[in-house]
Amino acid sequence: MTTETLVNPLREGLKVERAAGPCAIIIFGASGDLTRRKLIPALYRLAHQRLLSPRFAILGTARTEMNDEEFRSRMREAAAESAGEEFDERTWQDFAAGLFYLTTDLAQADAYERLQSVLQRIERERHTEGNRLFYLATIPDIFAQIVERLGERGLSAQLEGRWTRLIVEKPFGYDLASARALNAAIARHFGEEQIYRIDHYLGKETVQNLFVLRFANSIFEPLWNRTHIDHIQITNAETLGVEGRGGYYERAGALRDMIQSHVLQVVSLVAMEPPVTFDGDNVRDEKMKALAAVRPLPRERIHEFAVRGQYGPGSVFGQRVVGYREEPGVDPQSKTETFAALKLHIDNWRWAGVPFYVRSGKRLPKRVTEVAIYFKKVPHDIFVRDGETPRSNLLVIRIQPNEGVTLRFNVKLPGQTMRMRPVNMDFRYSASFGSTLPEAYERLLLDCMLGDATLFARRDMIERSWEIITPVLEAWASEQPDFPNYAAGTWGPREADELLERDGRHWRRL
Amino acid sequence: MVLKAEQHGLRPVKSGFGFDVAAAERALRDQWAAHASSSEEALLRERALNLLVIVEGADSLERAQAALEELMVSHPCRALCLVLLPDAPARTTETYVAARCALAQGKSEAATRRHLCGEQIVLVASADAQLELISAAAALVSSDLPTFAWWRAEPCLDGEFFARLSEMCDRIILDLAMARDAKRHLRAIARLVPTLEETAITDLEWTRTLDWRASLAECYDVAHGREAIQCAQHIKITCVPRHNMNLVPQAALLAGWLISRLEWRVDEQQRQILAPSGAVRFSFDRQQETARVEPGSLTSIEFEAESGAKLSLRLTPDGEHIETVASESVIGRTIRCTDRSETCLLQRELTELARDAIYERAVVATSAICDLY
Repeated sequence: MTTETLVNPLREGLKVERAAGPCAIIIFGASGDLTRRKLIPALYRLAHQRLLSPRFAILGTARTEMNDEEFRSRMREAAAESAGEEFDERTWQDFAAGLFYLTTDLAQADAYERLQSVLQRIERERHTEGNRLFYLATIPDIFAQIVERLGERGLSAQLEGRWTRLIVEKPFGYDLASARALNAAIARHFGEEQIYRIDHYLGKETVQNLFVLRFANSIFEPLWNRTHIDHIQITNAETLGVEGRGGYYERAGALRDMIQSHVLQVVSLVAMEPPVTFDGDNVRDEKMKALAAVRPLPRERIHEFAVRGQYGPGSVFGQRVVGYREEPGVDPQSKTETFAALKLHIDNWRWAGVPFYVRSGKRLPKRVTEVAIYFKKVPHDIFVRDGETPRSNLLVIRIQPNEGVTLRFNVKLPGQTMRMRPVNMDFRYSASFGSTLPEAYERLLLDCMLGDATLFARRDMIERSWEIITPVLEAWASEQPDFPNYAAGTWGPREADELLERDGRHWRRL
Repeated sequence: MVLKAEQHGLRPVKSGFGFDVAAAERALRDQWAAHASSSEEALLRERALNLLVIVEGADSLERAQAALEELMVSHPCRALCLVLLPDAPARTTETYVAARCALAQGKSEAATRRHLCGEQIVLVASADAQLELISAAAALVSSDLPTFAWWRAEPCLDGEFFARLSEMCDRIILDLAMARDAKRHLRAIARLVPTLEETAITDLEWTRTLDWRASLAECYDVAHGREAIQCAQHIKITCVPRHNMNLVPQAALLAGWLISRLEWRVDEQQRQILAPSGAVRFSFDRQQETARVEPGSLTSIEFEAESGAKLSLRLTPDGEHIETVASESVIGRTIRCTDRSETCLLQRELTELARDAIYERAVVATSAICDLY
């Protein structure tokens, strides 16, 4: 269903032209960490920048006993902490007038009736025009149940001229079967155009910059193919351990937690064909085509394509740290991987023969997320007589930290001999633009309120991502790993290096 | 020497009459070399843009300097300050240089101890040396970088100096708050706009109205606010006047913006403004100066429609927030004004490169109503 959009001539040319219209946001799991640390600070900042309609309401709901005032007070603390010096008490007071809380046990029979009644009252008071955004920020186990209840009460319906949307936080399932079941459960009550599967990675400025780098510069795209690119490395390295989330991580692991979601999304952005326009399904169609072209991993030869690891004790940033199995909430005999690396091939004209090596791990020596594009060596080395071998050109897109782009090329060392040295041409966001980059949740929440799904994952993309890693999950489930197999503060197990060395390549030294 | 150079770490570059561009570059290189050998922390010499700052008189440079040093952090650049000295003895030309470094602010551990550096070149010229001045500036701008000019003086939009400046700049930022005769300049800008090809022109007085325009745009989203604006019979704009000014640019530009955005027509013969709902009367009121509100600032705008719909936006007494009040029980709003310091206004302007069609249309409409009020 389409909703009529009012053309506001006064908005044109203002930086607030993408401001959201009136709506009510209903957050399930509102007493949780995500709401406090990310959602409310992001919504407050949107209000601060005038990107949130004055006619908004946020109704938080969770089991924790709280009234509106207590909720506001807790959220004020979170917003103030996040905004720092930018925090403005009057803007907060204005914003807080739209914050409400309902204590509910969602398992109780009358919970949704009460929710609906409170919501209707708030909608009247706040003039939100019946537009609703449901945000599932609870534990994933009850996503399907919440959606079912919303559907039963008719809360998923979109009446004429109004919209109803649903944001689902990751993880989208535990495996292919559960992802399909969750998608099917949601689809019973919400149309695909109403569903926004959030992956905060896609809201990051540097991930969005991938679109600009590729499709707003004519120098890169002609080189962006098998003729010029040797291979691609995508690294997502964290120095942190599980940080008290041992219980969750035990069920997830690096492959599910990072590769299936964030990393494969980045793969699709790097590999996709140019979309016709930068909007919703045009972009997502091209990303999906790239994922669809990922060659299935052979379960019987999975060791040639996938490596897993788990960190033991070691030291990171000069500090001793315990091994994964000693972390709170973790099984002392845990088989959960904290490191995963894959070698992927994309079977299409553009990428035939170009491997994509991806890795993600915890307790690695540095925090870095980046895409490294290795170009082919020169076809004939005219400097071989001088004993010089030019290094491959390299384009690095740093997603975090030190967000930016680096291009490596060879130059002549000054002197009478023909010696060469690789140098970097560097662009850093912080140096060129000075400012702090906006938070991903701000962008994504605003996009959802505006009905722009470009940066959200679609059902087919989620299911395809699970399909890609299913052979790995199955093979790993059937084998006993020799864990721990890397020390905290190192770059993962030896087998990860061998994954590239077999092809005559090496991981980039970071 | 005309400037108190040492006060801002400026180093004079000696030359006879005229400007020695090569000597200025050499002096800067020496400064960078000295910085690199004396600093214990990493220096990141960055040039994301060229910024030309045009000021009149040494005192005016003093006032621009503080903003410029802050700007260097968010927009590391080569800043070329062109100081016009109309009263200086003939054949006065002076050159100064400075390397400017500030500790970079960043979330990442790597960014915390890194100096982010830009550089400043000050060129001083008497009235008879303005062409030498602009030719030196043309030689000193870094090629292929976005080039901005901040004209922090009484604008002079005709003549060779401005023509040469607009050839080398992507965007010229005027500030009609500096103008003695704002009406004359608004008309001149309106005439200039259609003749500009690639160069964009804007005015910090326009930027200062941004919070008001954004608040009005928000009101327009709501039926009641829309009715009050669209069907207004009377619009009253109040501001704190600036000393000796025949027209307050912010008030006039806000009116011009409403007229152009809402496609109202200025009937110069009948001396009235016509909206589809009928004639619209603007009145410009002056409020007494207060300590918390800068002279020249808007303090309120009120709309009154024939139907009785009313809308009022007011600056709070602390000068920090804009309150929206409507006559019906719709939700009002209080929004903090964005920082209106010169530095912040410029920071915003330096993120824009393209021509601002909305401003250009607004200034044409403003020019048309100048004679009506």
